[in-house]
Amino acid sequence: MQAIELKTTLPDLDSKIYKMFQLGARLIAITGNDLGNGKFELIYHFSKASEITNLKVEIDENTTVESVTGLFPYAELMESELVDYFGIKVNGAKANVFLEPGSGICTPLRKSKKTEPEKKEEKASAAQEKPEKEGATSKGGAS
Amino acid sequence: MAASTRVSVVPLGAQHPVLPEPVALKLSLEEEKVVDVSITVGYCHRGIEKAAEMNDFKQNVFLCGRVCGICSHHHTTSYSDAIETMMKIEVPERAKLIRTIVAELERLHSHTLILGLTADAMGYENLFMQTWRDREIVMDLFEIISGNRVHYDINQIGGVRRDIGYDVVKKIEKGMDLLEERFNILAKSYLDDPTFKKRTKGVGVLSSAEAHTYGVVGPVARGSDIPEDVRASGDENYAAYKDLHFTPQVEEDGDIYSRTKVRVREVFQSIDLIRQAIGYLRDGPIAARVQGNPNGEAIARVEAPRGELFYYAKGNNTKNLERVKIRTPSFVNIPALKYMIIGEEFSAVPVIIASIDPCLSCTDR
Repeated sequence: MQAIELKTTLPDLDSKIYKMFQLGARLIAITGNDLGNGKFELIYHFSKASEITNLKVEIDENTTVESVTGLFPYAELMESELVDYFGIKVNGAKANVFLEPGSGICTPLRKSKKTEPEKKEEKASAAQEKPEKEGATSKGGAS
Repeated sequence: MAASTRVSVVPLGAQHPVLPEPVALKLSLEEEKVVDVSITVGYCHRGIEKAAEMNDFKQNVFLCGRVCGICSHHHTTSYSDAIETMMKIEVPERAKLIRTIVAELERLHSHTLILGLTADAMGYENLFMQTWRDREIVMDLFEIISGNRVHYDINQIGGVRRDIGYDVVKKIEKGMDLLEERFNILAKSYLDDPTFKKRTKGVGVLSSAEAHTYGVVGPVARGSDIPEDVRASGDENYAAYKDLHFTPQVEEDGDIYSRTKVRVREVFQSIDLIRQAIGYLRDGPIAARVQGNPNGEAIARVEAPRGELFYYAKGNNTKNLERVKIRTPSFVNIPALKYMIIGEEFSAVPVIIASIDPCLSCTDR
């Protein structure tokens, strides 16, 4: 299938998406790609009649992308996927929709894996809490 | 002075007898009327997109088929189409026609399945059982064609894995005649039965403007007067649809009845498309040779029974793909449920859910 390829920059992204919205295009999907070295590519796939347009933008790991749910309300789950699978920051998007929090799996589609900081913290806090909990149980048992 | 109305919150799912698959709905009710709903998905996430990066690109055909047990052939067709576009493989005409025949058989078994479940959701069990009995005609044909009733795995990169012989073609033709005869009787129950009409007309309405706003696809969109069907897009790579006569089935009202009517008419349309495809079948190869590894990017979309199914693939000239993205029809149809349910009676909720034919295996992947 042939598609029109458009590349844009982050400052122009919102206006380009708004232009597609004004044209009456439907947002098919948002694809995330890990390009390595902390760079990501977002592809907004639009459909208008039989024509597909792929709008590409390259972003940095620490960039926060604006949500498109104001124009396309059904993009909520698409943005949650970007957060869950890549750890891309999307303004207002819900996290932990597809991945269970505390399961040890985070950002599975990132190419360069990082150690999961939450997991280490959880273990450390669990070790600290353990004696307190035991104490509480014995107290409860005595009373 | 009027008494203040209390809002009760009723959880429906994730596991519930009326739900075929796990999705959690939190319904806020004022007496029997739904005033708000929140929908939670993600209960059957299996990490298929990640697994697709770790497999050989040829093995991925089988993996993509496992995304869904109902529309597995559409998943493999869309994935194969994306890879074939990337590798510039010309699929033989016979293979394209076999893909079309199996795709339409799949639409038949999917539509008869959900029509039955819609009847079941409203307590019309007799209609449900009769529909599923007739669905067996299609399931038996799948067993004859592929040896399997569910995951038939017909596709491979470059074509199909199994040919359809003369005997099998005759059995498909006989099966279609029988299904058409039986479904002519069932269609009357779905479209003319006063009980069915009373539970479906004017219920779960999604207007054309709302359908556009919420980006719904497939029979849900067509039931709301949006004539979108990927089969009519004229895409040359998408099976053999460009050679077949076909008009999208559209209804205007956007209620459960309209969506049901679209599916009933699409059952007859699929039978017609299968007959047309059989008429075009000529001897020839069923698969092209695949050389090298995929490199670059490609997209593909097909019209699965539930609507537009979209695949994006990125290759890096190795046997493993860099990325596979799957956007299934239920992924966009499920969020729109909210706008169909609000304002309706609590008893209508299971029927409205069934009317969009939700697939949680597809949604979560």
